[in-house]
Amino acid sequence: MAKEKAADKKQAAAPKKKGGKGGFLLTMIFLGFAAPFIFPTLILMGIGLLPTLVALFIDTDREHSTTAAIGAMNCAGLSPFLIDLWVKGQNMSNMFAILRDTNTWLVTLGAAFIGQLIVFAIPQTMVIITIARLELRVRTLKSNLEQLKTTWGPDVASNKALEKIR
Amino acid sequence: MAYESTSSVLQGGALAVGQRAEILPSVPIPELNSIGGPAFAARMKGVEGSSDLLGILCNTSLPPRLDTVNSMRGVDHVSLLRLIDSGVVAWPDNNRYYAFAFQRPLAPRFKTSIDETHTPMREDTINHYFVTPLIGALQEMQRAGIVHNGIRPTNIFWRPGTAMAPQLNECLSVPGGYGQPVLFETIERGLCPPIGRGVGQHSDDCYALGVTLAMTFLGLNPLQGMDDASILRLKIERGSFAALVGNHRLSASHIEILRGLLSDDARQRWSGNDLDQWLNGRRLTPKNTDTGHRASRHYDFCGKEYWSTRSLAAALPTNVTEAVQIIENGSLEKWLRRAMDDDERANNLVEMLTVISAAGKTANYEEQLVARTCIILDPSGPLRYRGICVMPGGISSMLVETVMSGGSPQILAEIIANQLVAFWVETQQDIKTELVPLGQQFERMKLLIEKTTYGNGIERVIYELNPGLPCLSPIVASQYVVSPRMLLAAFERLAASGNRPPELVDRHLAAFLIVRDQRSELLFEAIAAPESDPRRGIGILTLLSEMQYRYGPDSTPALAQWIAPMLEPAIQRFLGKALKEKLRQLMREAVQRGDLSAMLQLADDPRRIERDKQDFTAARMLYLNIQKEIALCESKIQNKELVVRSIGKPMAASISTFLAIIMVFAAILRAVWQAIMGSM
Repeated sequence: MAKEKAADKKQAAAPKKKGGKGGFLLTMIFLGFAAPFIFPTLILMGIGLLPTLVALFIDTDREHSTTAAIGAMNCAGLSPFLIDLWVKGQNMSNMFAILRDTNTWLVTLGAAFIGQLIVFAIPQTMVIITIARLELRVRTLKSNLEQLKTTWGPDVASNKALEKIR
Repeated sequence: MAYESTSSVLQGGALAVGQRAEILPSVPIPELNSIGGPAFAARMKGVEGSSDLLGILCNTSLPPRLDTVNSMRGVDHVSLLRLIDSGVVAWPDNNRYYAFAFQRPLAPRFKTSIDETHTPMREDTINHYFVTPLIGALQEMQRAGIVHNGIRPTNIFWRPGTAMAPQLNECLSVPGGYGQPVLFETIERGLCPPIGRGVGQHSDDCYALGVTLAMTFLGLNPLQGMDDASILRLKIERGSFAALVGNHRLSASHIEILRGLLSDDARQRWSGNDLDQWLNGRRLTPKNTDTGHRASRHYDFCGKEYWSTRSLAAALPTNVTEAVQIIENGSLEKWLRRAMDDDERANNLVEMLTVISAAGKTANYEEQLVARTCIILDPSGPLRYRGICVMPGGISSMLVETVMSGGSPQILAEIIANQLVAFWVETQQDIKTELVPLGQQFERMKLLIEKTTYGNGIERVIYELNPGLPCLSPIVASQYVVSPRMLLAAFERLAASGNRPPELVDRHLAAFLIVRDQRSELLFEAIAAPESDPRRGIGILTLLSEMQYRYGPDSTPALAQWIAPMLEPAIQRFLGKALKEKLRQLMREAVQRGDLSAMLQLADDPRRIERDKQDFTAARMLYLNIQKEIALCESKIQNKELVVRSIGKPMAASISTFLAIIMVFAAILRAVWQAIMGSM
């Protein structure tokens, strides 16, 4: 049974992966065509999103929740500088000016760091809350079991035939 | 049935006998004591100061003939004590007995001892004042289907020399034939002990009348001083008429009636019709019979010479081993053919031997062989088996006496199981058709005696064969329960007395109710279950609650208290603790009311039981589901990494994404704001 279930899971995951590969390919084609027009943007993104790339490589989780959390914050930290580039004009000098500004690195990497902090703190907090809730539930359920035993006797917990219960 | 009524204590200490009479325990009449019990004054109910009736209290261990009571009520003859009423009385000694109220006899006993002599009377006087009324009484009893079994001078109330008709004493207080001296019994009945004679037939009463008349005509007991064995031997050797009358001088008409009544062949013996003809002056000549037919050559058995089949039949059971030898080696058959010239009897013997040998040598083969040989040699005689000598009709009363005296009924059970009665019936000649129902009854008894289940076996046979017998169960023995409708009241009295027996139902009681109340045998199989089995208590309650519904009394709190602990296993069947407690409370209330039906409904409501089971099954399922959920929760608690992966990290990603969206939105707003400010 377990083997069959594992096989089913693999089969279900395969098309998802194919779709992911397809999307990545499309994105690459799009970027290939768009590169002559948005080259400075791509350079800025490539350098500014280095923490996300690092997270992507070290995140072994199948869901890539860590990458998602760091990536989202990293992107958010980079977004003001991308807007500045688009507002001032997309050229290499503007792009280098942004890169030379230490604030750019502080904000971009700081946002990525906050993302890492969230990844570290939120699961721990969730574990504490969830376990407390489960323990409360277990206590309630155990009290229900005792109540059933009081009402029907200890045989309610056994699997004896009804005719043998007296 | 009329004899079921029970008594209550009336004014002046009188006890009600049935509905119409009352007996006075403080006024005994010893001179009128009967074989069945002492006599007391009695009177019609409500007639204060009178004692014109005779009460007989049946306080011996012998059962009265209750099955004859209803027939006796219909008899009204000047020469028979009229039965006024009967019923169970609660005697001052705290026991219950059966009692009869009869018309009080008008004269003293004709004789106080059978050896008492009197002056012979004139023929016409004795015929008119003694013989004629007694013949009338005999005919009346024949019409009513009653056999008296107690006709003898000491049991007749008559004052010689008066015009008053003689009166026959009662015959109901003891089993048929009990108390009758051998002198007044036919040869075959005389061979049996008193309890094994049975009720017999009309011809047996005719014989007893013959002996009574012979003594009255002669004025003495012609066989005075002889013991029972000598009397029987003389009767067998010489015939009853010759033994009793001998060389005494009697009138021709008296000799004629005595010869007719004292015939040893029941087929030839005068009956009521013959006596009627004799009274009308028609002279009948009794035929000679082969009874007492002598062999041309004697048969030598155990060193003694036997000249007749009847005397040889009486001797064979005394030495079974020797008897089996002469039966199997053919010497008896040869004697029957050559010396007795009786081929039919010899053929019957050979046929019987063939059949019984083909069946194989089973237990008690030798006794069976001898018993059947005795039946062939003396067809009208009693059954002789393993030391017991009993008429087929006497098996019933002998069974009762054996059980009541604490003896083993094993031999009687073997007589029934070996179908000796059916064989006896087959061997009879002219009166065979009249005896067929008897044979069929005992064939049915054989089937019942072989059933070992509760309520069957020998106990059931006892009640089947004795229709008027009270319940012999030790549980209700002191209560004299004659009918199922008296049982519940008896139980209530026992329960209230505080001296109740440990058991409520035993094999006797079960058999009594199966026979008298036509109750299902299956019910008693349930009652026979072990104490822990709920079927037992429910079975008992089903039995008694139905009786309460049908016969009353409506409230039996003491009995209910007695039964209540037996119902605990039935209540334990319920699975819900709260339901059990509620049922126990309701049961206590029903017990206080003495309502057996309500108790049964509480203990055995199929819908309640089914609902309880369904609820229990649902509770069990719920228990399992809760256990599964607890296991799941505990596994989650144990596996924190799973919580982090499944809940924590997705939650962190969600929060980060949410914050990022806000930051991107803020960056766009900042750029838009700078653009607006720049253009101004």
